[in-house]
Amino acid sequence: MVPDGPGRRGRIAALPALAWLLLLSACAGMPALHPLPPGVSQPRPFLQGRWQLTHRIEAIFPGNHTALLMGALELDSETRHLRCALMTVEGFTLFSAAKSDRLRVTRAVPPFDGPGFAEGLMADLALLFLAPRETRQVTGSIHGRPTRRFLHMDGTATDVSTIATGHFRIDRYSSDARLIRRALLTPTAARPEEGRPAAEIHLDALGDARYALRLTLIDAVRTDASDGATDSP
Amino acid sequence: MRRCLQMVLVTAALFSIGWTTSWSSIHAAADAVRTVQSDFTQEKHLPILQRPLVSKGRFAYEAPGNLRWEYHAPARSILLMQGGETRRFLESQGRLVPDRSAGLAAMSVVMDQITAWLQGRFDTNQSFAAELVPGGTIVLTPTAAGMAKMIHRIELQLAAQPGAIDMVTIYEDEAAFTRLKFHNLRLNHPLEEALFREAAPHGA
Repeated sequence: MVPDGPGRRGRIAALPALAWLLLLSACAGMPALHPLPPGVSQPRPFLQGRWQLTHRIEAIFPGNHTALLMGALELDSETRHLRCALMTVEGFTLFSAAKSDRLRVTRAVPPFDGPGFAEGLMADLALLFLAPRETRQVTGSIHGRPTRRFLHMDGTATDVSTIATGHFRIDRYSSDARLIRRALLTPTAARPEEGRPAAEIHLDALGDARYALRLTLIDAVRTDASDGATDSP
Repeated sequence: MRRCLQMVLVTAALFSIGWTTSWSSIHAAADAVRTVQSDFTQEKHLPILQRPLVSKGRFAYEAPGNLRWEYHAPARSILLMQGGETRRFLESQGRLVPDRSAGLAAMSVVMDQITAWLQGRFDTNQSFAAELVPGGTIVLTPTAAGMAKMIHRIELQLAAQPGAIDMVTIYEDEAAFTRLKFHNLRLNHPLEEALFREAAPHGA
């Protein structure tokens, strides 16, 4: 779909926006982007600054097997630093890791020590909580929903759409334009504005390894705010 | 009359202080405990969290081996141990469902450990070296390297009430630990058998 490699990047950068729209419309698995009416705001679901979040996590695997976990996450939108921990309900830490330039796993209890688990988890967290970077970006609408399309250098793409005020959808496509992740972000009823942590996040992994994650926000602290802003559903 | 009341109070206080001074006095106090019911607050402290992750729940124990360990919030989970069998129920999509994950086997080990503590058997588990510290604190240190990678040590603070535990702190390392504080503790009150058999018994 999207050409990659360093030799092609210059040509990508030179394409005008209209050509991008035509190109993207031609991609088999991705919906076409239509022009966004003037004055319509673009979706911005990603948190800004440094945050600490805790979630109740329900993981659903094929065969309807369910696991209940607690998650702790520290993120910095500027440095793209992520630190996370997964725990049992009883408080036992099963997995902890940090990622900025490189991934560092500090604890991994079986089965959370499997090959690719840490990389996959961090990729999911980055998809849900960090705005894509080092990408080409085009805006438009899909079925009337304002959408930002991020085109990554490796040929993959991410669509971020506004479903309703404070409600967002994040679709991740593989380099052959297959939908591999879909996330729905739901705000708290009391605070449906952008820039606040989502109260509920539903992530469906639709690739080779299928699973679903249901994240419910327990607590949120903005750690770089002078007033120590906090958020709880 | 007043002198008599003073003597009773002093005797009770001495007995309360005395029960934590030796393993034999701890065993003797635990032997008198038939049932325990308590609410608890669990705090998970992590270096990446300014505020601990707080969970609330309730447990019920009946000697020698029946246990119900239940979390109400923020995630509902119920562990039942009866007749040597351990089952867990988790809240999934708004309803309680049986847990069939591999983690249940590990929880069975944890439940065995909790019931051992409730029976006053702190010093009989080969996996941990137990030290009784003056002031009623028991420190359990893993004896095997494999366990020590997961748990640095466990500290149990015994309560003034003979046979009761005030607080348990499980250290994964110095910065990451789980603290359980018990409150509304009731000893030797009759308990319904269904509490240990059913996830949602009538009136539970």
